[in-house]
Amino acid sequence: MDLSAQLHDGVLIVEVLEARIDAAVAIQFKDAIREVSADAPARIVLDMGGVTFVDSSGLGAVIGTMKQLAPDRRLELAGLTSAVEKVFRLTRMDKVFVIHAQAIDAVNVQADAG
Amino acid sequence: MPGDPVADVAAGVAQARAARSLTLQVQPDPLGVRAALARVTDGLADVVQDSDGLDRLQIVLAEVLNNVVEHAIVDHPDPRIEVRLTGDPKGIACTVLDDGKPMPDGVLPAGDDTWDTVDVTALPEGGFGWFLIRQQVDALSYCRDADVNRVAFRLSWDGAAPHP
Repeated sequence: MDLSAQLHDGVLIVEVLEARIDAAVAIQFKDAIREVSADAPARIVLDMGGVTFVDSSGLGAVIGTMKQLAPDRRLELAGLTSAVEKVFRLTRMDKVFVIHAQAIDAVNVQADAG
Repeated sequence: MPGDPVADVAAGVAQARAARSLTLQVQPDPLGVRAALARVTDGLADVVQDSDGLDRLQIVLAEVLNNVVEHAIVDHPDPRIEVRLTGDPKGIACTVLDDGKPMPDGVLPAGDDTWDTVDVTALPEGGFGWFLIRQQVDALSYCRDADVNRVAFRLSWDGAAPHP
């Protein structure tokens, strides 16, 4: 599972470099996130702009990652494409996660607040 | 014109042309599911205008196939999984067949949304599949015949599926 992690103004943006988070890669996804977020700041934004599909297992992996990072660190989401957005909305996980249109918006929110 | 035999034949021919069928064998593992979904969505992308409908089809078919791979065919030495799709202008009918174990109690799981989005520490990390399926299909059935499981569902392209 390829991820790219970059710090932007104290926010760790983790870009998912694979098109699908599904049953085939759910465990690798969780492991890879754990690795890149080891020394992460309080806010981690998962940039899913390149992810076209998430199934129940992939959704479970994102939720598991969020629970693992809590309560010291918060996992936020960004760039949900249509099928991915649908899965989060149908399961009401759009009420659980802070979801940004684009990853950079998450950084701007913080800048505005500061 | 009602009752016009020529018009009826013309309508029947048009309907037959619009109906498209696809049958594929699915390699019985998660990557096989992925490949099958790619074939279905690639195959329909040119003929189905409703991208939202295609999203729904992919989500539902993924969960039905994942269920087969993760439960029904476990311990099966040489499982067979087949997907049959028949599309028409209004929607698509899909049947998934496998020769694995029957559904527990012979019925499809209820797929209730029992989770609480307020207490995030107690959120489940799986078990969303049948909920996602039932939320999006117009019709869903299961039967077991001659040691074969048959899950059939139908989706409409027009957005008439039950949305929450």
